[in-house]
Amino acid sequence: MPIDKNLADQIRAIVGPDGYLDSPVDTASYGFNSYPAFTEPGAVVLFEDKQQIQRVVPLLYQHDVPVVIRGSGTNVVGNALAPKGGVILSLERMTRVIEMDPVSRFARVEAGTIVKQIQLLAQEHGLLFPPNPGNVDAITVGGIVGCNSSGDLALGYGTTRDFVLGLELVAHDGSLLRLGSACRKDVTGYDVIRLIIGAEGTLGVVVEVTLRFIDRPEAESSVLAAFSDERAGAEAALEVMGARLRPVALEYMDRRTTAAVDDAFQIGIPPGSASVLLAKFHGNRESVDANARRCAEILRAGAAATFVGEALAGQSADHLWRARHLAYPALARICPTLYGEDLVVPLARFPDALARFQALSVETGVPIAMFAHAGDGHIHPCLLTDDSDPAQRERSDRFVEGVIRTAIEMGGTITGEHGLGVHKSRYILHQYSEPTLDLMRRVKRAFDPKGLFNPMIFPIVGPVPPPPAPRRRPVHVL
Amino acid sequence: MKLDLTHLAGDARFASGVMRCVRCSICVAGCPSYALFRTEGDSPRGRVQLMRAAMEGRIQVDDRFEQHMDQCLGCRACEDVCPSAVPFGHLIDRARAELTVTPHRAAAKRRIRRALERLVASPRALVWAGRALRLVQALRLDRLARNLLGRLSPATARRIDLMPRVQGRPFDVSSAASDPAPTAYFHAGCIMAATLGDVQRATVSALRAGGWSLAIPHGQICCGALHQHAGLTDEARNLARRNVAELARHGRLPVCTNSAGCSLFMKEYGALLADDPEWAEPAAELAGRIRDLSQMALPEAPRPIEEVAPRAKISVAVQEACHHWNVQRVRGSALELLRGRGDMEVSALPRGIGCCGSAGLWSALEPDSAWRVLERSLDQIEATGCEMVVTSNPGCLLLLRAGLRARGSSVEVRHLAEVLFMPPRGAW
Repeated sequence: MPIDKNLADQIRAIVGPDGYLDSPVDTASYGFNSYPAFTEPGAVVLFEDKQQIQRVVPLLYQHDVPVVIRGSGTNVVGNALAPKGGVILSLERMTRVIEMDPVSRFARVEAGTIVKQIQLLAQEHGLLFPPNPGNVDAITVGGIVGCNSSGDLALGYGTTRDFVLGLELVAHDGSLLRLGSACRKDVTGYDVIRLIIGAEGTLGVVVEVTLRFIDRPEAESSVLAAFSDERAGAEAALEVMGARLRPVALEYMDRRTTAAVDDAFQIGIPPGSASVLLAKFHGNRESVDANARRCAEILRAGAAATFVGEALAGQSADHLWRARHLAYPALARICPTLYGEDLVVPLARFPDALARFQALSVETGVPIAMFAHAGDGHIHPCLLTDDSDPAQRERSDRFVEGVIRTAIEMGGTITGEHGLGVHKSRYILHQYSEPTLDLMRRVKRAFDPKGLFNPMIFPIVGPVPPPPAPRRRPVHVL
Repeated sequence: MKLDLTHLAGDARFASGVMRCVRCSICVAGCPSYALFRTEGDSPRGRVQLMRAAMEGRIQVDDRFEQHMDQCLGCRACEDVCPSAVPFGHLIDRARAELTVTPHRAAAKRRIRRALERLVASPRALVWAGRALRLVQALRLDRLARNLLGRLSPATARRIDLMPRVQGRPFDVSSAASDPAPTAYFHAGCIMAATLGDVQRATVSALRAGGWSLAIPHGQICCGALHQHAGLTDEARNLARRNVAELARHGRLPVCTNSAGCSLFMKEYGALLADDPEWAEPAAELAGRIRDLSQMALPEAPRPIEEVAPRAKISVAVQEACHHWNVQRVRGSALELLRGRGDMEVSALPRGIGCCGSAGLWSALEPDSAWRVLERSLDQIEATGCEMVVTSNPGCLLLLRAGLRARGSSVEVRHLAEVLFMPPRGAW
């Protein structure tokens, strides 16, 4: 569905011919995320700065064109998929660091900046930016803000939300909302920032973010343990957490994940390992070494441990952590279609949740591989399937529905860091009751009265109250 | 004209390769064409997804599709970092092969490409072309042409600026002498033999000084990499077959190449001829014998050179060519060899964004884009403060030389073979 020619000309006049793409080939190249579904955007606008966004967004809004904000398009649940004829607002060219203040420990950056660049920037100044999702080399600041992604270090430091001091949001009418500040303490008015973070681009366009840094720890150590039994690895995670060693990361991989990761990165995990735990400690040299040794002792004491090794302060275990971070794409080696699930349960129920997900896999006939941020009870069951087979698709749906119900039943939540995306929006009905959903819809309408920002996400679920002055409903076509 | 690529779904190697991509975007950050154009269609992930969309019939193949495929530099940095093992090199070659059979390609580019590819596949023509180019450059006719044509077409001016400077008379394999009882083959390539004759002679000297007896088969020919990357698969396979035969005449000896691009491609001969019952096995066997010059055991070389005072040391930055660094992972061996000399301050040139802009025929076909990529490499080189850059790939060597010359820089660019036995400073 092509965009109106006059509208296209107006946008071109703002962003230049190089910033507006509408050939079918170019729009197809923005019709995907890491989620296995493909859409046909009507056009793609590539922005150089926030002023361009402020001018283009109201134009599109006036013409009732759905818009979807995209950074690197790496999400695995379809948070940045445009409906047919919608427009992709790409922030991939907005990568400037506007301000770096190492004394106050913050940086103000454009939303398209790659997170790895932020981590390196912090490192240059002896600081640490803890949000560390697996795909850190590729994801953007806007992406982790949109999904409140966190990764392995969330155990020690918290999620992205804990490291955002302020942000700027372009609203539907082009106005620029400045939220928060550069200060670590700020209770002025409502905490709207927390609403924006994790909203998956449904409320407006985050264009700038002020990020908080912390002091870089003096040293780090790691422990790797392999087990002959899948459950033993999960139980061992609880033991490590119970020992109050305060790991900053505690990661779990099951048999299939371990095999795929070892195939991709040759990290030398003992062949046939049924599960693997990887722990990281931050602190001074003495404390990280002591914690790693104590952690290794605990793990060796378990009957199922087949290998336990430590990398003490000064010894690098980066290759192990990189391999763990890239477990998801490594799994693509063993199946045609890969879905990454994202569920969190209370820590005490982590081993049971793994066992129940595994049982669901057997029951539905969907092969899975699981890895997890074990210390947070945060599990990523990955469906190893083939979407070209309708029967497998149907089985996958049953598995997803099953794990979602199981997580909620166990007191958990249906997404920890991926967001709902097009994949799971409908399942929000399982987690929240109508009054809560209604409140969320009213929040959405306050920001986006026409429902044009990322329209395939959450608010399409359930009865959507009509906007004050309806003109035309956006089209939702996958 | 629109082209239908849905039949590619029946090509198991292509289809499974495309489907392996989970669009994680790990490949994007290191892609030189993405760094240049900053659009998804010019990233490896975007290209693979366009190939998939074409294969699934979701898009029609048009000029824009072709442009995105053509703007790939073929450095294969994406393949090297891909956790999902997407065979990007194969996919882009296959896609280009489909585009080649249509009348779709821009006619001028197609003509340039075909002419160059015919030329490199003919050793005699190459030798004569090398001689002619040497004469043209000696008489400064190239500068004259640049001054006249450059005013009409900036792209032509850029092409002339980036044209290889001939170094010595061509290395003519048809008259090269082999040693008795050879212990290794030397594969002399095409462009290098024509334009870098001195480098080829230096390579032969270095290998002989290192104790190797060399067979230089007269029937050897261009490895076919340029053809394959341009989508001319049949031509590439024919060239490969000829090399497989020629490089077995004296037995299964190691084959030395001094070009990163050739060595990478020849190591993949097995896959190239996998469906040819007659040639599959010998091609795979040859692939296992391919060695880069820096990997050849050189027991006596480089001759230990007495440690000289730090001030007298020449500062050298070693450029690791993409086709060594990626996929082959030949890394650090040239650096180690040069560190064996006592008269050089040797460091690795930062990899930066990777490709220098040469990329086979790409710099000839896309001179303006190549220049933009090249400028980043030149900035990096100048930032190191080195006096000399050493590389092991002819394309990089010729382009970096041309770029530095155009900038008026005094930094020299040399091939590893020339430097291994270069006399210490003061004696050259």
